[in-house]
Amino acid sequence: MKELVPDHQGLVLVMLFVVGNTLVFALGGVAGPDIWLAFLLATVLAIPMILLMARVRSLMGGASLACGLEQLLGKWPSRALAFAYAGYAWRLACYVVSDVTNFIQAVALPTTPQVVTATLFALLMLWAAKEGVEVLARFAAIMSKVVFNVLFVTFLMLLSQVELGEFQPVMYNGVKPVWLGAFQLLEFPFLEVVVLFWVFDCFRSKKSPYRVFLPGFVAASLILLVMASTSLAVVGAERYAQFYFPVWAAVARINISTFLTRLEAIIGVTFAIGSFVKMAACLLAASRSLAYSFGFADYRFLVTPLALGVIPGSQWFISTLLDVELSVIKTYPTSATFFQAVLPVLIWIWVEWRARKLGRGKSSPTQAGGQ
Amino acid sequence: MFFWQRTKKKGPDPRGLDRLSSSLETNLHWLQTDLFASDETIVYRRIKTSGPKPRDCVLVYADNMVKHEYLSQFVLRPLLKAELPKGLRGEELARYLAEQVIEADSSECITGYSQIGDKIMGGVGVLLVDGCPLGLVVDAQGWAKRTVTEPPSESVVRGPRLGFSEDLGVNISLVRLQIASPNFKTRFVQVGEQTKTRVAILYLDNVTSLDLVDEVQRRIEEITIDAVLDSGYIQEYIRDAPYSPFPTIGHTERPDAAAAKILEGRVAVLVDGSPFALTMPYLLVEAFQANEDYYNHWMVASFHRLIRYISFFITTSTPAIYIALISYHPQLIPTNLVVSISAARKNVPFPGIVEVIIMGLVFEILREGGVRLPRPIGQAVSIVGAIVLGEAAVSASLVSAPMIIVVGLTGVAGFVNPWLNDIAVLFRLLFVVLASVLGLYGYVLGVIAVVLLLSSMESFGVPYLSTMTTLVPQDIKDTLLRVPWWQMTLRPRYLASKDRQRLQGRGGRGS
Repeated sequence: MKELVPDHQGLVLVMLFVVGNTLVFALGGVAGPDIWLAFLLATVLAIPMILLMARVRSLMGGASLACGLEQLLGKWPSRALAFAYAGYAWRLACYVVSDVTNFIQAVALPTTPQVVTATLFALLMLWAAKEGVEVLARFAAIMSKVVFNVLFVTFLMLLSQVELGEFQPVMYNGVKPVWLGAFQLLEFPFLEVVVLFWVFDCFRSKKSPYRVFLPGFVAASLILLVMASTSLAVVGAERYAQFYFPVWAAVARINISTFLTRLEAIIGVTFAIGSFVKMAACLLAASRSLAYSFGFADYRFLVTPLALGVIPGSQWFISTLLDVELSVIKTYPTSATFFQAVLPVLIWIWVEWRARKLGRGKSSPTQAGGQ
Repeated sequence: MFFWQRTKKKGPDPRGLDRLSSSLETNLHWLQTDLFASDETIVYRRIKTSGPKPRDCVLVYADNMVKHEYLSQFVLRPLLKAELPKGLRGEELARYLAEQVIEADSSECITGYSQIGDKIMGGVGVLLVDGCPLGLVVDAQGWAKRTVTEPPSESVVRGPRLGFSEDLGVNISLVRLQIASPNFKTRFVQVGEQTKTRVAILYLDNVTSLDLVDEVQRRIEEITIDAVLDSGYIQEYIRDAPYSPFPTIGHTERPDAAAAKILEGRVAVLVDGSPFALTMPYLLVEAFQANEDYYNHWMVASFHRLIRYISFFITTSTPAIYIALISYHPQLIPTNLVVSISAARKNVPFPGIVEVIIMGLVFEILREGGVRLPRPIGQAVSIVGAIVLGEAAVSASLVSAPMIIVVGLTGVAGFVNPWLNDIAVLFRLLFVVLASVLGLYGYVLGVIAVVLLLSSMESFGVPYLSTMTTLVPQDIKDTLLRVPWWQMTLRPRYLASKDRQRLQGRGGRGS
């Protein structure tokens, strides 16, 4: 049975996926005071890739992911592609679990082994992935109201401490840091959205992928821009780059009438919720694409082994907080570039060529299911 | 013969026929030795008609199930005075009696032997006449009934004072009084091998999806059970998500609440003998709505609704957050407060989680102990619990004073949402255990699990969180707040599939 997600729920799923596990980290720290420029540049550079991804899904019409891929790419190439992305999505799930468990250990539970929190998160994402994308989207729709309202209130409370002088002079160190910051942001977290390509089974109409991916991504990138810039303006550019969790540090400074203080725990809570959505989506993508690559009709029996594999996986790929930091602020391995940029472009060119051959590109929108 | 070798003793099988006989004595013999054998509550009133050739008649009924005066006045007395024409037999005789002798306002003929049992158990009188292979059924139900009173479990300050009773007919009429429309339809189903309970499915033909009505009927018809004594039996059989503690079928004792649900496009189910109507589909948001919300000013109603949401959060989360803060994150508590909490906990020998579990357990024992007691004794239990146990426990340093406040607040907040109170206790315990293991993050994991559970639930095909996940303005006008009536122009999208228009124009002072 096709799993159909309403557009607005898909949109918030994209938003939470992007904001997800990135919120507290020193995103684009290398750009220094020009962080906002790096964010804008990264957003502008990411939009064509997002559109390209939406275009490929759009060309599938109302068909499910498996059928659409098989029709447009052919049986074996699409299965090989799914196998590759299954590995990528599973590794990303491990990274996200590792991020969140390291974060919790650093800020709250220094003596609790990471494997305890990793196991609980793994069990929950196992459940979410087994329920499917419809349930995950509903979950995101409910939780997004909590997460984004908390972020908005936090932003308002931070405003009194913002020092706009931190952003000046603009591009004092030239354009290079801006580009470096933008590329960092593209790799983590902007173009990780490519995983969501494998999460949605099918869309309501041909325009739905555009309605889901583009506004969701742009809104999330703006939220991250605002939170990162505000944090930088509160803690200063140097400290922003030095801190493991600059947003956390900035929110810790909130002090309203000596009563509303130490609100950083709220940021931690939103981070945990966002991370959960991202890891569940990654697990779902990994299971779905792996099942497709081996020709299984249902992916659910693969969820349990993959989820349990995430527990040791999260300890192998990133074991310490320094590794988390390096994975965030240093350039990602080339594999990320390959999966996030090179492969999507190749897929798009191939699919576009095939669609023209099949005469699909200009056909009228195909409706999938009812309202 | 050993007991396991005994076979079931076969009852007398004198009938041989499924239809009534023309001989009155044969019919009576069957009834007394077979159908109602050993039943001393069945009354056989034998009379003779007037005239030169009097005819033997027997009126059969169950004692205390009929209106005796009614049967005497409108059945027995006219029969005693009647002179039946010669030569009348069979159907002609039955028609003559029904049309020209019996003065009761309804009477019908039955031919089946087995039908007599159902009818008499249903509280009607059956007249058997010699020479007639038909039974005349006289509708004279008259058992003891409760009057229509305000339901104690759903009392209101403002609103109708009517409540359902145990009589299905009365209950349907109470709803029909609220919805005087020809589109209001009722379907009947019989459930229960032994009890043969009548179940009514109520809906609005021009609003409710017929697929939904068919689905409800199908699920009820599939029930195989020997007895249905309350609508709770039906509820448990036909509900979705049977392993979730959250209700997926609503229940109410108020006809106005049932009518309001039907008018939104839901289906109501009434069960004979139960004062609780079931409504479906049931969404989580309904647990936070009260019928009084719609009778009071919308601002007041919205405020009360917000209080209900906040109370649910307090009752499920306060102990867990308290445990997390004092055990793992004391730095997050303002300095003055953490000092006073620390001073209060100085002499307490137990960790926070033990305190919470002890006090929570005491609170639940007091609640369960007081809930079914007569009111004066119930109050005494409350006073003993609150003052003696609470005060003494703090004085003896068994628990800290802040813990008493937390548990008291938690308990009182739970009563704001009576539909969810029992569930709140379960989740409170889950959150406390998780918070005591992983602090705030344990609590968050618990919340994620609960929201995931809610997201995965459906009620009759409608997602359980429907109105909470949508961003469409019209669909959220009756969720967190209750906007003015004139702004709720459409019925809920997920329910009223046929006709969403609730108001034709805006009307009212707000237009």
